[in-house]
Amino acid sequence: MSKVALIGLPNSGKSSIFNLITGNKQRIANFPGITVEKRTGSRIIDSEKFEFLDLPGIYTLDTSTLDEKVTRDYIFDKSTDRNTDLVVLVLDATNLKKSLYLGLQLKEIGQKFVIALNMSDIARSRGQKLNLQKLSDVLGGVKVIETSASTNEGIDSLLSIVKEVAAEEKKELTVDKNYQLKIKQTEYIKQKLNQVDVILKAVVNREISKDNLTEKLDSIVLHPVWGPSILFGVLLLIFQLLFAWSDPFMGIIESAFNMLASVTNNFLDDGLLKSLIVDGIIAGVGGILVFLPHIIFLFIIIYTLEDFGYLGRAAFLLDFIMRKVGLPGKSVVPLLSSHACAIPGIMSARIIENPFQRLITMMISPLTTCSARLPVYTLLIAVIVPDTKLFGIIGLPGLALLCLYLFGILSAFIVALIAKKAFVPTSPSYLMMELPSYRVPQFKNVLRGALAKGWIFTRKAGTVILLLSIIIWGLVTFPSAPANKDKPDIHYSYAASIGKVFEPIFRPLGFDWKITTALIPSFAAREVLVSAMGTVYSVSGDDTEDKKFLKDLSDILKKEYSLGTLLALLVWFVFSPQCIATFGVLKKETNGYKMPIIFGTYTLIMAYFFSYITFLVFS
Amino acid sequence: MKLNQAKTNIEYEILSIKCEEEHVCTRLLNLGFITGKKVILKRKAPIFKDPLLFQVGSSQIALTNSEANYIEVTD
Repeated sequence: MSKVALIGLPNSGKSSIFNLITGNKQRIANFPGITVEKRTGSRIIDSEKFEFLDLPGIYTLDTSTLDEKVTRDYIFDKSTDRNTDLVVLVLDATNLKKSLYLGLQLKEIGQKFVIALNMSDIARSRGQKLNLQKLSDVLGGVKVIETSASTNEGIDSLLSIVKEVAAEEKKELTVDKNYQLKIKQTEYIKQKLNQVDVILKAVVNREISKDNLTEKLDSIVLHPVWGPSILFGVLLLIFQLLFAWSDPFMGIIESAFNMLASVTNNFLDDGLLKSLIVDGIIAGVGGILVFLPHIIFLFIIIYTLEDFGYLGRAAFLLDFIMRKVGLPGKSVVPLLSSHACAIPGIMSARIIENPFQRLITMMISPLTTCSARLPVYTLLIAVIVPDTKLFGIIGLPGLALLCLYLFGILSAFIVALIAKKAFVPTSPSYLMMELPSYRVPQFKNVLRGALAKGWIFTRKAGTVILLLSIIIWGLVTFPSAPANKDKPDIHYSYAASIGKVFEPIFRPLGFDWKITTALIPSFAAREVLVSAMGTVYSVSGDDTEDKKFLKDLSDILKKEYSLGTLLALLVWFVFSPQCIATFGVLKKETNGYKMPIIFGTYTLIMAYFFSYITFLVFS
Repeated sequence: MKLNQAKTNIEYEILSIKCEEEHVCTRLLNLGFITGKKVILKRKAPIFKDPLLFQVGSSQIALTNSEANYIEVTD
């Protein structure tokens, strides 16, 4: 099978061409560096199978970032059989000056390639006229095809050219040992850029007109007053839509799984199998799928903004503030989204190109207050904070909740700051980015990308999450309570035994074994703590919406625990290792168990430390 | 003078680029900041006046103040 690699500048539309060719569910967007790993897909051209690779965007064969290295290594890799290897160089027809540089380098190393002159339709509509034959001639006879990923133009001819050129004889690269050093030299770069100028003079019959639309939009979007206002509005909108859109869908998924559970309940005999299926598997799968609305809606919003070209502008506006804690402007998106849920938040950290900054963002995002923690906060605040008004207007419970939100975001920033000081970044951080021209978002691509995200999450993170939730089910269920039980089932379970074993460790925080036991099921999802506390104290009803249940539970908590303990528990939930889904998605996004373990350890230490301090101060 | 002292919408010519780290220089060159080329400061980020948005050739490039400090331009 012949291999064909797509390379090109960031934002040249390379990935959309790849999508068109392979039909692969691959994301494209109007933002540099969206492809962080190589993607492959196959396509049959006249009964011959070709494998296509989508490589990270590069400006030059001299590379500085990790994903750029992926591309360079592919080109220079001697170990692969280069016999039929062909490169499709995707160029941005609206920005030829920058694009041709890479073409000259490919020619110079003797790489076999063809050129897809993408966005030709836009370039033509802006008045550009090119002599394609001449362009092909000056590059030594390289085939040039005008394409447009949005109108499908030229894709078929590109494919037949690919087949034709791939069949040509094998070509060895002609690279001398010092090539990597040579292309770093200022003299070399200048010489190559001059060469580009000379070629363009010969090839361009009529120059492209200025992109007036981008200029006009930027004068509003980056305006001293309008810019920040629009940004604020957009961020607020993301937040609102995430809650407003996702809620009904989450409700549907939850009730569907509740229905499935109750139907299964009626069909099966009481016993372990029934418990495993209903409380273990169905609840576990439901617990995974319930994240999908958040993930899909967040990525619809992000990809639309990206395609449009706004995300780069947001990064520009926020760069100064976020740089103070060592993060790029774009990290605002994952941090903000994590206030709804850390799962889509962590996934959205992919918009950050710098691997080190992306990692830090993923590690701190869960510290922000996700919506699953609200029922826990609400319950504890109801117990601790008197429902009175400060100065007759500001409700104290609301104020307490606001403080918890601020506490979350503040601690995230502090951890980021510590990480910035403590670690030498694995990759240098700088802004230096090109702001793309505005484009009309392609909703089909946006939707396809967002659905793909949901699917990847379900498949890749789902297995880990399901496994962990079944383990938790096992801990709460086994061993089963004796027939003559006088206490709730959970008192006889492994969870209770573990809770009792850990009680001495948690005593300095004021937690008794009932709290430590209830903490175990709360790893499945934060809000489960409320119903778990209810179970431990055998309060009837376990609905977090049930007012009587909440009242009964908070009465018991008020009676049983000191203020210090309750505050310590509240602080515990600000920092404590988050739900298992967070671990699952961290494992998937960092491709291993190392980062989830580091994350679990550091949050555990922080939770313990701050809860301990809180308990000391208030008791 | 340094590029970060540039005034908006005035064309400057790049005289030289000096960086502490080589890859920064290379990146700047690849983005189009080359001796002899023209550069215009299009706008500054609101409130903090950092980063800065430049036009080089047909591209819009954002640089932080300290990144622009590496670039020497005509007065």
